[in-house]
Amino acid sequence: MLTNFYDQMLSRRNMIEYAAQTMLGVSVLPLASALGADEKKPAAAPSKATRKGTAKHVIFLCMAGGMTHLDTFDLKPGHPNQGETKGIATSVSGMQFGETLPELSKLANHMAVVRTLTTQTGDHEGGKYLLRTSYKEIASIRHPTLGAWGLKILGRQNATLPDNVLVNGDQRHPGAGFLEPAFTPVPVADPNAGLQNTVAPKYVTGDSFAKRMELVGKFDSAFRKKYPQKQVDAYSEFYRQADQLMHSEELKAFDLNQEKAEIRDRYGRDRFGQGCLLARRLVEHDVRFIEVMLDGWDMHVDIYQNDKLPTRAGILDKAVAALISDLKEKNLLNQTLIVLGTEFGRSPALNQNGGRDHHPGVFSGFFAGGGIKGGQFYGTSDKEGFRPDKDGVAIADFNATIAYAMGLPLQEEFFSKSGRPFKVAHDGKPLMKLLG
Amino acid sequence: MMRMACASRRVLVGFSLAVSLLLIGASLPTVGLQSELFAQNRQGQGKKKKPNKPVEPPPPVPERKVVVTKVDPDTRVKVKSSAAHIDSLIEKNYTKYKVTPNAPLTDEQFVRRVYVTITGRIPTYKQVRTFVIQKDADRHSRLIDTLLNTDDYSSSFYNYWADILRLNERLTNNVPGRPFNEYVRVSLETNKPYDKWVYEMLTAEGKIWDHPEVGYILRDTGMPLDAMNNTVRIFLGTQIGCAQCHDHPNDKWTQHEFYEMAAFTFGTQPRVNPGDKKFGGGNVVKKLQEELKKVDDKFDGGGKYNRLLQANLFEVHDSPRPLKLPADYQYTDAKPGAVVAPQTIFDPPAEIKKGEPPRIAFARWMTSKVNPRFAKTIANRLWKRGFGVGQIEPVDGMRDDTVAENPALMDFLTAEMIRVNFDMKEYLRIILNTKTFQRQASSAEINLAEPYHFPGPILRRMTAEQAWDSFITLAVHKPDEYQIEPAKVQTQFLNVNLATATAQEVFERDKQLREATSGKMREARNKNYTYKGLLLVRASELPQPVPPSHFLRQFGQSDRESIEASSTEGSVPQALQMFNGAITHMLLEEKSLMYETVMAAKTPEDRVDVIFQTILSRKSIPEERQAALAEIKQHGNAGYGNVIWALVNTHEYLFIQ
Repeated sequence: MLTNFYDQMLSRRNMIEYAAQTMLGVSVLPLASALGADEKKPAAAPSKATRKGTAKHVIFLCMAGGMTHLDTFDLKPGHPNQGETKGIATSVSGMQFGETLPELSKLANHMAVVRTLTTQTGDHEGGKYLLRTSYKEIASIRHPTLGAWGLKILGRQNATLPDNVLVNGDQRHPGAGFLEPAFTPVPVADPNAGLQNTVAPKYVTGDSFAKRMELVGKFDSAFRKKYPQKQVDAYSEFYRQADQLMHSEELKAFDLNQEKAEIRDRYGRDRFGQGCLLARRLVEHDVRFIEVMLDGWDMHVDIYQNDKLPTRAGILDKAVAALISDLKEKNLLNQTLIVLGTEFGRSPALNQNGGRDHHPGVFSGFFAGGGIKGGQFYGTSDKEGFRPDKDGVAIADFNATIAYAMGLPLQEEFFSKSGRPFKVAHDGKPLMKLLG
Repeated sequence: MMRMACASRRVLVGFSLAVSLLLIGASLPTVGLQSELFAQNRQGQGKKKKPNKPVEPPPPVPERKVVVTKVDPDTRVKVKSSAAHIDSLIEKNYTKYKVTPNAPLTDEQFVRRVYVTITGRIPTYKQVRTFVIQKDADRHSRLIDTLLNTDDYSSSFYNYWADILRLNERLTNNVPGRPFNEYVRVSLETNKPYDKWVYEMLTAEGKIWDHPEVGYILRDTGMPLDAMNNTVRIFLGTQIGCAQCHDHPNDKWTQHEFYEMAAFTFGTQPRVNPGDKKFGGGNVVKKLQEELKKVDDKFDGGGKYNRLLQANLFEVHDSPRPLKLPADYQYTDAKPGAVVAPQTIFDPPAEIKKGEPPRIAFARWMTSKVNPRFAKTIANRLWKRGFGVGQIEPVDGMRDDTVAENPALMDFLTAEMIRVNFDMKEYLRIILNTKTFQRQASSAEINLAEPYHFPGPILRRMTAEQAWDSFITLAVHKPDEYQIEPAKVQTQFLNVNLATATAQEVFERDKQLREATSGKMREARNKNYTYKGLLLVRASELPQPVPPSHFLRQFGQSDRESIEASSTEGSVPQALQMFNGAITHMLLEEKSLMYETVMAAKTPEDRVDVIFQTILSRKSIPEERQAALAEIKQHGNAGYGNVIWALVNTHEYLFIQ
């Protein structure tokens, strides 16, 4: 039985390689590696976290809904699939972006754009899960995200602030997966509001707060003894962290009011723009991993209508351009890896409603900063923007690149409570060509 | 106590920003002043109070009449025999897998669990007391019936379905979701048989104002293929979505089969073209906008009339069109671009009668008693609602080779669902009457990878809505009083016949709509229920969904972007909310129900008793009582505040055992 999306495109040789990998149960995601058909495989990554990562911080920008690749980073000028978007020149000759990204175009020299991401997962939840964990979503286990792996393996970078933060995130974020709940990203629902409820009512002094917590401990001990479960322990951990955070001097990192109005304007006053600004503030406070989500990319109808692509891309362009330049001005870009990912691309052919549907076959993402060699495209899709032509990249490879830059061990196995082995980026191979 | 001058017919909750707040915890930790201190303060406040000025009475608040369909008292014997049969099937697995069942619940535990399960909130102090003093053997069944007969049931199960159906205040750019949301609520109030309810949604046609059930179809406007994927996932518990683009990698569905299913509903259109001949030719929206320019001297280009003009184009109807395979179709059984005929994925096949749109046949097929997965899916979903784990997991991931934890039980549950004619209340009544439901939650960690043999329900954190509604129950005197604005308030003006409407009429309607939804109207509805900007009403009466920074979202309410996107996981902001949030703070206020209940008891000992029973639905054990009394002795009134604060911050409060 055919099990994969694009069997036909595999050469016979790759097909055999692919089948062998599948049969041996090596991986459920070998397709893109096989697709890549790269004779000169990148040098094997080191097996342990012996090297120091080039990225002390990661800002992961999750484009939820499935960002159209044809209208952003993978243009097909002259092809009927192109639709209404025109290309514009960037700061790197020969590199073109969509015209909706004028500011980012000026910063292309910092960006390594991957145009051959490919998966078989065409549903939003499954796609986002895969993007964030490198594993397919299954019912019996939850896989950790890179922010959680960072905390688990590298430890805390910031002693008081949470080292893993999710801005504008969704409820189904896999978080810490099977790892300790303490590694779950701290969600900030609205960056303008920052972290809420961090101040106790005036009548509760530091001392009386401690007293109250002591009482909680007394009232809760029987219950906690009776139910030694992870979900219960997790709450204890969140309470502990919340308590610590409330009394932290660095809390102001979450307060965007500390920024000048011009700076806030520069990022765009929408939630994503302000989320990127918050990410920059957190990087300044030495927080390791920040994910910022921008949703609204699911454009099945009238993609070129003003409230669809132009609006979304406009928000993205302004915020991320501000983020890259701001980090550069603050000399933080070299140690901060900015990553843009999405769950899938959008169908190359416009549908009858003037929109584009889900298309996991090929799509785009990019890296900037954090030791990445900018000013390059990685991989090319075919002339229709339908599938990778050369150098296919699995999500696991994409994430392995992030993990490698963070200094995480790619080969080491970690075991879930039930004894199943997992790796930081599944079996992905980092895109060494991008890593300077 | 300060009262609003403008007493509406509703009983005042009594929260107002104008009231200076008196906190239990705010008093200094002096000892021995207790109630006198409160009396003094209250008086002091009264003195400061200025005489009420005569004010204009607020406009009347339109309400929707609620009629709740009750369970049939005469079927209780049958309910019990079915419950007993379920228990016997479960017990067979205890023997087979050497499982020791959990101990039965105490009355205190039972009353809490059954309230949370059915009414979506913890019981009040009074409700706990009323139950635990009863001693007859039938008290559990009686309480289950009583609760199923309340509107609390509709509120709580509305939240459940809101998560599955992705209820939202906006269905498309210009079509409000309120009429559909209300339709879902009413379907639960009237306990509409589930098969009938689903059939109505799938076969709906017309505009949302007259036929609110079309909201189900409008929710997936512009996504005819995803719509089929969602429908099969929700109602048949089966995921065919992967096959939308390629043969399913780990189920048997082919892309061709997916298209065959989608072909049933592909001709269903959510919208009529503005140039349709029924509007008399030309673009009716443009035509009316042109005329509005002349009528409205504040014409803004047309945007403000979209909710009247664009919205009325959304009229679900059938207009047959062929569904073709995609241009990149890669399998050998058909050619790319070939037209696909509708065909169901399970037998018996759907029969399309002459002259009827294919989706009618599809709806008939899907909701039929002989469809092998329709009754099974809802039986399994509601089982999970009761026990925390489905007989089949995930509830929307059934495959041909899926084996339920207890196949005989799953078959029986499915047969029961059919026997009761898809009466969801009756079915819940049966499973809640089992011994198994009335056992303690399992203490040990549940391993998702292994089948769970139901020694009792699993331990669960309250859902976001349950946690919020429980707080409301602690704080507010009549938590069920407030009602969200009925859909009719707006639909009576929004419903415009574009074929006959004049610009003048549209202009007038817009004006009337603005009046009906003005700030004054909103205030009249909300004022007495608002505390520090928070509307203290049940989750089901709040906009769907609430904004991301709201308590409900922090505790995991779905963003309604995808099916069942809610979560019951913890987070740091949740903990901060519990520590310092307005809603925790509010419990300590003089006018909260919590405060009044506690103060009605006389001695510190009695008050501690009341506090524990109000918050945890149980009495304290000696160590806890001692700790609480010591705290009160040391800190006086602030001590009560601290005990209350501490109890709502326990894990026991949030988890239902």
